[in-house]
Amino acid sequence: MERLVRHFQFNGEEQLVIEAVRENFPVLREWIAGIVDELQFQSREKKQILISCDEIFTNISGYAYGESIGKVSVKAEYLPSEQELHIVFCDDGIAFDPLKSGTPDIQSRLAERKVGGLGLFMVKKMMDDVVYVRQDDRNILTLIKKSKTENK
Amino acid sequence: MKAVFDKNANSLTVSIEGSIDTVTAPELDSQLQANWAGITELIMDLAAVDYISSAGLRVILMASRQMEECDGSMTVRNVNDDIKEIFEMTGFDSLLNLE
Repeated sequence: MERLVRHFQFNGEEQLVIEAVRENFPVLREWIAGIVDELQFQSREKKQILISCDEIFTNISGYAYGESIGKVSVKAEYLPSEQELHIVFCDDGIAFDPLKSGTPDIQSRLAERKVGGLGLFMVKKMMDDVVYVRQDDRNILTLIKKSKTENK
Repeated sequence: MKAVFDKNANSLTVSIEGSIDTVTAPELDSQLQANWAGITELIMDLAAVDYISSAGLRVILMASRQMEECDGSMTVRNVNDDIKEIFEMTGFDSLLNLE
């Protein structure tokens, strides 16, 4: 049986496509915030989703294309039967599987504490699932968040 | 994000409003640096902060480290439950003086 999927458009397009530069994050944030509000995610879940989008977008902006500027496309889909929001990030940058990134040291003293790796660590903690595939020279990363709110 | 700075002799209170994210964290950092001279007591008031990403954690970490290096103190005040959860998740709760 085919699963029912609700696709969210961005300004009439199938997906949001923007240059992967940090300054563009508010465009993504506002779009996702609107979707999450419409789906009546709880406030805590909304923040977790926005933080996770921030971390993934920042990561792509900072590392995927080296010194040059590339694009990132983002799709948003909701699966009512599973009550899951799927946010799919695609870029044409260098292959990078965030699921293979190491666990940061969160016990070290102030002087030794590093922030590198913390963002992806947070994403993995806050999302119900994170799926990475490398396909046709593209990085495809899906963030999955289940809603605790009924009746969408 | 909006940050209001209240400087009183060697003490600086920063009241932050909105989200501290990949775009606003560098803004907060440069505003902090501009108000930094002579400060030995830094108070960050997060009462009106919506959420904080790792870019914001970096700013807090650097500020805390800077205060330690000059034998000063830093206090993070009015941390709501969602931000407290982030601090606990990342081990920042054991690094910071939360009030």
